[in-house]
Amino acid sequence: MTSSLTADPTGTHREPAPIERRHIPFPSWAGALIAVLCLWALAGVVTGTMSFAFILANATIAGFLALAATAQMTVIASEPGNFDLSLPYVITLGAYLMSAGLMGPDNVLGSLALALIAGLLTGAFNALLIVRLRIPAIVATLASGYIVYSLIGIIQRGGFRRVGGSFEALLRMQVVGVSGALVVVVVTLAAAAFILAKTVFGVQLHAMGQNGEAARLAGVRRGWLTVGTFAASGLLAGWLGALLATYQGGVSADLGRSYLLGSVAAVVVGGTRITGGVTSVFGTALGALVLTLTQSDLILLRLSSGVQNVVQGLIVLVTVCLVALRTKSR
Amino acid sequence: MIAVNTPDTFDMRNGDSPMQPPTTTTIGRRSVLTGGLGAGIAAMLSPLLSACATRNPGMLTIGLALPFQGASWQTGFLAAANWAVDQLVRRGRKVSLRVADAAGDAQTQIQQVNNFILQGVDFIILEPLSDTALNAAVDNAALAGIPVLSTALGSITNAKAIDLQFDYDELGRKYVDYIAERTGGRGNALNIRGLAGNAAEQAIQDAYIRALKKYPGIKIVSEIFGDWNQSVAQQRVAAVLPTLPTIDIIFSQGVAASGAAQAFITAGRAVPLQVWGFDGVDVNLLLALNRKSGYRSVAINVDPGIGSLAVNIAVAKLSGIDVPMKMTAPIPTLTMATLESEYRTMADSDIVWIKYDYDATIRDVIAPGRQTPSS
Repeated sequence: MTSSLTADPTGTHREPAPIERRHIPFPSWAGALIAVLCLWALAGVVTGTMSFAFILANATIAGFLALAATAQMTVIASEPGNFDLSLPYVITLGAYLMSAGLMGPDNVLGSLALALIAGLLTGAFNALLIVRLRIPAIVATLASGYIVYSLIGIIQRGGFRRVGGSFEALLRMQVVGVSGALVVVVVTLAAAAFILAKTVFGVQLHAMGQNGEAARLAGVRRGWLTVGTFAASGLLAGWLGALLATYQGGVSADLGRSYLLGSVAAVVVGGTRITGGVTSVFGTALGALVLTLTQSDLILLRLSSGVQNVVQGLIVLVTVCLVALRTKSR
Repeated sequence: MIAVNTPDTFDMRNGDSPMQPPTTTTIGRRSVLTGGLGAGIAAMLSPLLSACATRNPGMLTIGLALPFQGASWQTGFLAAANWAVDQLVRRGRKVSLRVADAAGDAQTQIQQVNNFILQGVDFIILEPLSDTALNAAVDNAALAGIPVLSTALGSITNAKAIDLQFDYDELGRKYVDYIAERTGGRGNALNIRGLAGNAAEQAIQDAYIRALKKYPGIKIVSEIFGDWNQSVAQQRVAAVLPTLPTIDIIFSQGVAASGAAQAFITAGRAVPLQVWGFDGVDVNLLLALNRKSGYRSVAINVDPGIGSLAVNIAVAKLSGIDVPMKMTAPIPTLTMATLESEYRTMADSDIVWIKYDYDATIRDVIAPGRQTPSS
C-alpha cells in the first residue's frame, strides 16, 4: 500500500494547488489589487496629483514587509495553525549580524553570510523543537524568539556600525524612481514564488498543508519538509534583516518589531487563506503594498493615530470575511 | 515570629548559627515577597534589615532597578551610574551598585525592589515601569527605612519616593527656540511623534506645542507616528515623502532624528533643519553632513547622564545632606563645536551622556531643588 504510493511522490502532487483555483472566476489577489489602485487614487485626491514617485516609494517600503510576509506565508501554508513568531527577532538578529562586523570590519559578504546562516539555523532549530519534541509551532517559535532576543543583547554589547559602502549604494540607487532595494526584493520574491510553485519542495509543502496525513501516505517526509519550511522562513528573515540594516543605515533593537503582526496581516490581505495549503507570493506582496499605502494615506489624511489603528484593523477584518465568503461560495 | 523581631537572633543567623529555627525566617520572607502582609512584615523586618546593612560598616550599597537593557539610552544610564560610583570610590567613599533588570515587566520590577529590601541595600534607584504598580514596593522600602529615588522613566504616584525628573517644558523650549532662531520663526514642519497613547510622548508633544505658540510662522504640515522606533519612523517618512511639500523643519522626539534624515538622504532630498538626538548614529550622521555640505544643528535630548545624578543624590542623602523630594535634571544642548571636539570618534552604537560629579550634583540639582516648592 505505502510502497505503491511512494513510487512517484512528485508526480502525484503536481496538480493540487491549480485544481483548487480553477473554479474561481477571479484570482485571490484581485481584491488586494483593487485596494492598491483605490488607495493610490485616494492619495492622488488628497495631494492633488497622481504621483508615480509616491507608489514607488511605498513599494520599496512594502517590499521589506513582503519579504517578512512571504516567510510567514511559507510557514502558514505548511500546516493549519502554523505561525512563525520568531520572525521579528530573526530579522533584528540578521540586522545586527550585518552591522556588528564580527567577520572583520569591512567584510560585508562575510557579515551577510553570517546573517543568512543565523536565520537558517534559527529556522532549523524551530523545526527541531516542532518535529522532535512535538511542540506546537506557535509555542516553539515563541520560545526560540526569546532565545534569539538574548543573543541580540549579547551582540549589541559588542557595538555596531553603519554597513555603508557599495552594498548600501546599490540598495539606495534610484533608476527612474525604482530603488535598488525594490529590485533586490522583487528578485527574491520571484525566486521564492518559483520555489513554491515549480519545485518538488514547493509542491510537497502545499500537499502537506492541505492534508498532512494524505501527504505522508503519499510519501512526503514531513519532518524534513518542516525543517525546510522553517529554515526557508529563517533564511528570508535573516536576508530581510541584512537588507534593512544596510538600506536604513542603522540598526536598533526594535527593528523587527513591526513585522510580526504586519507579516500575518499582509498574508491575509493578500487573499491567502490562513488555514494552510495555499500560497501566493504575488498576492502577499500586494497585501504588503495595501498595508503600506493605507498607512501613508492615513498620514496624508492627517487622521488621529486612534483612527489609523481602527482603519487598519478593519481592513484586515473585511479581507478575512471576504476570503471566507469566497471559500464558502466555492 | 517573635524571634525574628530581635536583631540578636538575626545576627546569629547571619553568623551561621545552626540554632535558628527555620520556620520563622521562611514566614517572614514569603510574606514580604508576596506583598500580602507587606507593611506589617516589613515593619518587623526593619531592624533586621538595618542589621544586615551594617554588616559591612561604611559601605553604601545602592540598588539600581533598571527597566530593560538593550536600549542604548539605558546602556548610557548604567554607564553614567557606574562612572559616578567610580568617581566616589576614587574620593575615598565606599559605594557599590547592585543592578537588576526587569526586562520590561512591572511585576518583575516589584519583585526586584522587594529583593533589594530583603538584601538590605541602603538606597534604591528606580526607573519605574509603571506609575502605580510599584507603590506598595516603595511603601515596603519606606517601612524598612530605605529611601527610594524614582527617575528617568517618570514619577510614581507614591509621595514617599524622591523624584528626579526631566523638565519637558524646558526641553520643548530649548528645542523650539533653537529651530525658531535658525529659521527666523518661519517654515513648513514635519512632526514625527513617538508612541501613540504614551503619557511621556504626550507630555513632550504638549511642551513642543506650547513652545511653538510664540512662533505662528512655523506650520506643521504633516504628522507621523514613528512609534519611537528608528526603523518605523524612517519607513513612514520615506513612504509619504514624495507627496510632501517642501519641508524646512523636522520635529522629532530624539529617536527618530537619524531615521528621518536617512529617509530624506535616500530620496535624494536635502536634510531639513532638525534637532538631533544623543545616539551615535545621530551624532555621526550630523558630523558627516556638516563635513559634506556645511549642515549645522545641535543635539538636545533627555540625558542618560541622569544616572550619575541619581547615584550622587543617593550618596548625598545617605551622608545626611538635606535632599528635597522633587528635583529636576538639566537638559543639555550639544553644539556643533562640542560634538566635533569631544564626540568625533564615538561609535554608532554608543550614546552621549553627560558626567555630573558629586559636587556638581549638589550645586546644580540638589540645591536648586530645595528652593522650588514641591508641587
